[in-house]
Amino acid sequence: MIDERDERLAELLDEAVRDLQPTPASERVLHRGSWRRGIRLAATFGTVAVFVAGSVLAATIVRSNPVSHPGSSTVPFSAPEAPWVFDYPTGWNVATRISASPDLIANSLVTTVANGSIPLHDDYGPNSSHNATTLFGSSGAVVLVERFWSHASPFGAGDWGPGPFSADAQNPGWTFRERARCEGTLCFHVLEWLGPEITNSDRMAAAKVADSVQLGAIGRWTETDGERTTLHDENNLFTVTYPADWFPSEEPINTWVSSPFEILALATYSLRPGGEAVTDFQLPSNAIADLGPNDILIWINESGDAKGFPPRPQRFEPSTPCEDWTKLCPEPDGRAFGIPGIRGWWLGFGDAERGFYAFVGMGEQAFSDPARAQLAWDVLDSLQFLPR
Amino acid sequence: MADRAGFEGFYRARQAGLIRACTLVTLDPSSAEDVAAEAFARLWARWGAIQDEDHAGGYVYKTAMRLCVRRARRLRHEPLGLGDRPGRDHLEPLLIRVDVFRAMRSLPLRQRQAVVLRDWAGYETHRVAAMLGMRESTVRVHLARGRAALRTALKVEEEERS
Repeated sequence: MIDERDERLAELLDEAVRDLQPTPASERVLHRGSWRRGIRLAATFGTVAVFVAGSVLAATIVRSNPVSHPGSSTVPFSAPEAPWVFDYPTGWNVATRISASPDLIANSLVTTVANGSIPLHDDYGPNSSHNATTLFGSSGAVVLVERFWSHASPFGAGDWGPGPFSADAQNPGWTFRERARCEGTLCFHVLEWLGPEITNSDRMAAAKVADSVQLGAIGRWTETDGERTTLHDENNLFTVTYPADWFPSEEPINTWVSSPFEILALATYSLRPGGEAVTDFQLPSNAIADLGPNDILIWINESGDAKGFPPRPQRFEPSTPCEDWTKLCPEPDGRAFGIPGIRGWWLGFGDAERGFYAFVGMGEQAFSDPARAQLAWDVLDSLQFLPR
Repeated sequence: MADRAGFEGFYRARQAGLIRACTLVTLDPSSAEDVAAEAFARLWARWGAIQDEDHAGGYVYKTAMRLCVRRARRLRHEPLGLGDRPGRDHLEPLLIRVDVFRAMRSLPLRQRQAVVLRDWAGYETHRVAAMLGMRESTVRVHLARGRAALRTALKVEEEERS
């Protein structure tokens, strides 16, 4: 139960800081606080004075130009097709569009929030189209949350922005600013895109929407361009890209070993968990029994830190050399396990301060087709890990 | 709660705890002292509006966590600040601190904060959510990930719970 306090962790954390002896300095704190209080009081009086003067002035000017107010409350956004959540004003509209294509290198997934209606079929965005006022009106407030296409995206990068507002070269009078958020394996951009006649309240509301965007409570999430699928596993902090017609298992296929623990089972066929151990490496027999002549199975287990594992090779291949670590050296011909009809390789490697065992199995037909066999090694090469 | 004596009592009672919490987030005891002092100063500046000790605790932790994040971001490429050598005769507490700090450093800041506020400081999840300005469900996600990473790094077996 996640809501319960983890006493053992608490104890360890406490041991780490228990001996720290702070210096009592209440006088310094009181002095600093009193000074702050004085500054705040002065600022409050100043603000009130400016507000009263400004109100008198504004009352004479603004009557002919009423300001529209955003909804007084916000509603949360979450959707199964998008990995992010945020709050947006009541009365605004939201739409998520997946425009994946093998030719796209960016913006395959976009959630749009706007103070007006959202066009469903037009392409739009700052510096990329000249239809902003036509689509959203001159007082449009638009927030775009964009997932960068995974194969070209930064991985594990830090947050940045929001930067300053810039003029939209394609839409005179429109401005935009952007920021990047990276959480776990996911990086996304948030853009505020504002029309030339936007009201101050809508400008502020758009900024609040952008501020509130964060990664949703997801465990696994996939995105695809129709040819390749990228799986993000936020619990195990990795991504892997594989042909879109392959099948990742939704649950561990090995149901009886917890250490090392399985983080990925992926195959060209649908995987049945369970069975019995095949070979000493605890391969689940159901997955092996279902592996046909042209099939490929990739199974990855994690085992603590990288200590004792060789570093990850630059490229995975059957002849990956094992200079320092011979125990699980892969045999180039994949015959080491003696499983009839199946070529198999075990590889151990360390990456992101984590240790991994990877099993690659394939049928004879897949093995004899170099292009098909290469898919397995390409999938391994696509693995990206974050430190735990 | 507008009296100086009341504040000083609260300060004495909570100062060490807040510094330790900040240390677990910034991973630098001297920065943690600064951050905690600033948080208490801000609390004193608003002491007249504080309703009770619970309110004060929530305010000072919330403020400190915000300040800790700024400080931790500045410190993220610095070597770990382990503070003074523990006052005992053996090195074990220091070694534990090294392990814990290394493990905490591998966590994103939000996970660090969630674990410190929930597991170390003992605040309920909804209060942690309020302090960190996020939803409870998000706190739970950060907690789960942070705990899992810490358990692995510190080789702590998960407790069996009924």
